[in-house]
Amino acid sequence: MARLFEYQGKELLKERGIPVPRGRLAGTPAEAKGFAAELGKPVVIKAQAWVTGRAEAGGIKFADSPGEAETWAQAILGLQLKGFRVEKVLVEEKLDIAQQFYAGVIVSDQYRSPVIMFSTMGGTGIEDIARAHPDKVWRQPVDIFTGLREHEARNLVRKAGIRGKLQAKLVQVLVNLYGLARKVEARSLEINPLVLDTAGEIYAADCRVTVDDNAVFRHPELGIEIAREFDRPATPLEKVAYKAEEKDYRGTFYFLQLETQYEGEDYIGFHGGGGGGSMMAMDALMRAGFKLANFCDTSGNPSASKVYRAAKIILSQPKLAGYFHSGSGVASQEQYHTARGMVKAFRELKLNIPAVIRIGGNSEEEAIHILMEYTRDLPGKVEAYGRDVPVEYCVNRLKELIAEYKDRKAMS
Amino acid sequence: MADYTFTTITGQVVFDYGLCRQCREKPCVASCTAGILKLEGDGPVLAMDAAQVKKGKCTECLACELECHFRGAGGLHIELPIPGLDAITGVKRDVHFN
Repeated sequence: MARLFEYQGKELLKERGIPVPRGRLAGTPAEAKGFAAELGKPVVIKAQAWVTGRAEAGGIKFADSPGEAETWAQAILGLQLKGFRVEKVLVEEKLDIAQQFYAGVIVSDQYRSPVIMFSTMGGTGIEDIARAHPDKVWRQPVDIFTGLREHEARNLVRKAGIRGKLQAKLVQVLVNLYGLARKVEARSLEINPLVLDTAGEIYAADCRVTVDDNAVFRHPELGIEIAREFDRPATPLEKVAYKAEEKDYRGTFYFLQLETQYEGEDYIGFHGGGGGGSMMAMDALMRAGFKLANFCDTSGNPSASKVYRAAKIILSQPKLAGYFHSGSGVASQEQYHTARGMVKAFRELKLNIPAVIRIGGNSEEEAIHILMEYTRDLPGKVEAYGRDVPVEYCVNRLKELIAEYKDRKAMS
Repeated sequence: MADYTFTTITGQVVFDYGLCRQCREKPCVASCTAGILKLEGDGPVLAMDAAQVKKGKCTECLACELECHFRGAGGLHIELPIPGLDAITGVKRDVHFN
């Protein structure tokens, strides 16, 4: 699911009437200093990154003066947080916290509907809260046709023993939160913590928004470049792959680079056909000592042209020792589409590394024939196998072919 | 040489009739299970409205290109652009089938 940055989520919350701390987005330490001076009070400097545990990783710091804000911004900008390079920091007023809550909306597979959640134990992850304090988390499935009604939100807050003005404020937050989640077609929209400050005001101190991948095209206003769940900005190649997929609804094509800083050899360009089969094949490759350059999945009855583009994008990665494809074993789609797509890519690129294709499913014999026959003249050897051949055997063959290829190269 | 072209959902099919004239079997027409091609003299042409083909009658199964190159004279090429890829790899690749 596509994610928004914290600052983007807060802009949406603010537009929807949910108060957020005053703050500005800074790209340099000098900007952070200037914004801290504008705010004129202690601030918090927050790394903008799609990762959890930012505080523990040094991505959130408090500063009592503009000078200190500059120092912390200097330390945070450029930081690698779980592989995510921090390019921007949010400089926000520091809140005087009296109490922390959690408020969230998720689309629940269990309830088959949106569910609004509220807890008086905000500040840590909702999963942790629910595990440690199941009696402090309240949920309410929401009828998609009526939306969250005020009395439902009130009942939820009342269960937490909250009455009076605070109850009224929290109810408004929950109703507005639900409205926003529906408007942007969020899979989840969480405010954690939702802070009650010492002056009795409510603020969304942090938020996390994930948007349904399939709804992103309806929301250009969100500025989501790639409708995929990344924990780091997309690589240039991932952007190219997404563009190839974006408007072609025939099957799916997911592409994720697992490596961009290559160390040593034996990287495999991986091409899966179906999620489960892909996982099994990736495990087998790694057990055999290979490193995976990427994850890729073309499934759901993709056209041959989509498979072609996927194969070509995979093979554009540097330092590949081999190409490996494995599907689910018994795919219901006609496998010759996949075979033709690969053959076109292999031929156009004059494939010069070994490729092993495990292609089980409808018309697999024809697919194997296409792959073997129409690639015989290529420098890279292509072998294809059907559903009855275990993935371990195919991985082993790839290993042997790569060794042969290296020997030949060394001799020539 | 592009003597005849038509657009598919995401690409373009290009015919070189000079080569098609040398082809006796015309396997491109026979291999098209969607039935979008027919022969007009020596050259394959669309058997239906080009707008329909662009909309999806051509499923981009790639069978015609494969058969053309292995059983025909190599006069058919399918262009399936991948915008931005050459810029990343830094190489303008030869995208011809052979």
